[in-house]
Amino acid sequence: MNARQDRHDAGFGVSLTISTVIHLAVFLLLLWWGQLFPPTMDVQETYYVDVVNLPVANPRSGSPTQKGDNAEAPPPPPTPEPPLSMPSPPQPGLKGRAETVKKTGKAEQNEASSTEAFAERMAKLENKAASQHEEATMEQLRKKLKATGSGRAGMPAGSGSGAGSDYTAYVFSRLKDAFYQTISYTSKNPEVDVHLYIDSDGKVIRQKIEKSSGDHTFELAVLRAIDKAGDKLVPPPNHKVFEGAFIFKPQGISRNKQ
Amino acid sequence: MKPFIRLMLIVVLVLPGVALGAQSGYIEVTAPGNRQLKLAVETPHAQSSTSPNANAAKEMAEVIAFDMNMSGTVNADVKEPLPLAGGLMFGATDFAPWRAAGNDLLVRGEYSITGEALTVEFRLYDVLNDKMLTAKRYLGKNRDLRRFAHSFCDEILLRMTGEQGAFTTHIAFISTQFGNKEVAIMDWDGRNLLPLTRNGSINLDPDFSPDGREIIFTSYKRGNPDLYKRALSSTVEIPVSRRKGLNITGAWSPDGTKIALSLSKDGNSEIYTIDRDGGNPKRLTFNPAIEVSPVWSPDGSHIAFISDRLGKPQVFVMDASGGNVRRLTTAGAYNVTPRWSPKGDRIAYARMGGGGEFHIHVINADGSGDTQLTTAGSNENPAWSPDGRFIAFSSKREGPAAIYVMRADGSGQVRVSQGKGSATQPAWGSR
Repeated sequence: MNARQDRHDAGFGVSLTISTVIHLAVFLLLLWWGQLFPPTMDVQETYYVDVVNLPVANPRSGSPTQKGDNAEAPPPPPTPEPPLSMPSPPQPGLKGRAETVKKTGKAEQNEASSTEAFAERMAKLENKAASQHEEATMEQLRKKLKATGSGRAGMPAGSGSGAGSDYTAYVFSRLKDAFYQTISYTSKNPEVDVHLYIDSDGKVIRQKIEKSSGDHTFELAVLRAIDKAGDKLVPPPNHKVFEGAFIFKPQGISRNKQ
Repeated sequence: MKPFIRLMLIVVLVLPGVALGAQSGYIEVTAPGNRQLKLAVETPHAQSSTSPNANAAKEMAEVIAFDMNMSGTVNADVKEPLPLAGGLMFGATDFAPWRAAGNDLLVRGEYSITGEALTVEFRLYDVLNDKMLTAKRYLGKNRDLRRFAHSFCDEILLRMTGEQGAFTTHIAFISTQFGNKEVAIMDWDGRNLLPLTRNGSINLDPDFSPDGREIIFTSYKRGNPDLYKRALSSTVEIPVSRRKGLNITGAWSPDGTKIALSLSKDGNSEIYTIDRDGGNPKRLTFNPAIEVSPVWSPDGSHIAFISDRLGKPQVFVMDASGGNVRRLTTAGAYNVTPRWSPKGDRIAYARMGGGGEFHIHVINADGSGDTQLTTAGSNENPAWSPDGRFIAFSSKREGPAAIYVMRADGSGQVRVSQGKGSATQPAWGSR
């Protein structure tokens, strides 16, 4: 036990020394290599464009950018003119800001010669920004429509859950379409009375059979129809839980025949 | 006091209005026609860890398709399997191709056969709603393969109609395939035929006990038509009634404690009840005419039987104690072999026509609604399935008598007995 405690590990110091020597050697080698072959690559021109706050400008009227030397005193924004090349909706958030394009020092020398190319590039960027803005607007519109329960073409936006209300008519229409696909029965005068509850997200949360003629096959057909109709229902108006009562029966069979 | 009366008046006046309003709030949803749902029975997949057995898979699919087609609730077809990556348990079923093919329901299965051990899992899907309706897993031996498929059909029917099927039940009948007229037993679809008696004599009128474990039948093996009983699991035939004369057409009571039969120990054949061991005979009919073929109503309160007390054999009904006898059939000159339906609302019987051929009829228990169900050949001895969905009967429409099964409305008549010889007098076992 004591013999084991007396043992001394001298390996760490040696390893540290060797590692230091190797690293130093590699560093010196790299330093020597850099002196022999100095970097001669030209710095590429790099443009940083803030596409969110893109200035509104006519690319043909010149560059909206400002030179680095005049950064302290920005020129007044260019007079807005109706765009000729790209029609776009009014974009109040995209008014000119001169600081959006930076250039490296070397790039300044080539500015005059590349004005045309730059204008073309700007046109592309502006186009891209416009489409982004359009997409954002559409998204806002979609959210708004979803919130008001009228997210689909032809879907009702009316309120109420009583007979005759738009949403009831909509649910009825969905149920009827689905019932066409599922109707099946084994008795003479099947009939099922159902209470249906649809939550604020348009999901059928409860289907209660209030009364049934006892034809289980018909009951199953009704439940399948509700399942089918309940798939992708639009939410009820004002995001309130919808409650509706429906009587299912085969066409042409009187309710009081039984 | 006045406010209370006022309140009561308001309640009395307003409540009916509210109720009426609620009722009138119902919206009627209707659709035309009565669709027969289309069921795709996919040939079951072999589990990935076991080698496939195409014959076994095909047989299971065919059993399910046959049972479900016979049920009349769906139109079933066997379909080639579609890919099932991940197995039935973890794989996801793509319903689109099944839906595109016009199917409403889908049965998918997976099996593994290792030596004699068989594991099968079946699932029933609602293709329209991408939803599983029921699922069952069965563990057993290879010989249980058909029974497992039948059993799942019982589940399907339960899910669709609320009533369990009778596809795992058996039919006992009289067969000449094994020599003389022996009692034999088969699955409801005619498979797995087994002779029960091997006494080389004439055996007649088998009837299952309510628990399905025993059979009574009349045998001439000692010269006299005596009533015997035997368990399906045994070969011992125990005499129940060996009284002088006829001991024929025995029928178990619904509770299994009594047997109604026709005895001629007092001269002519009369209806009696005896205990299940043959003791305590009680005579129910007192008439010089011939009385045979007693059958119990499902609740055990009545007995239907055949009597020629009015000149020709007709179906009569009486209380189980023997009183209150009344004639049930009024049409036809020769009506025999009544069988009460499991629900108690109807009685099936065989009526002889002008040409001497018999046809199966059903009549309501109150004597109304007499309906002929068969038209081809000569058809006798109807027997209800335990769920009342089918009627088995013997028919000579294709030569020697064979056992056929049809739906209770007479549709879907199909021969089920196989093999040589004649097959007559079917009796349907309980579930």
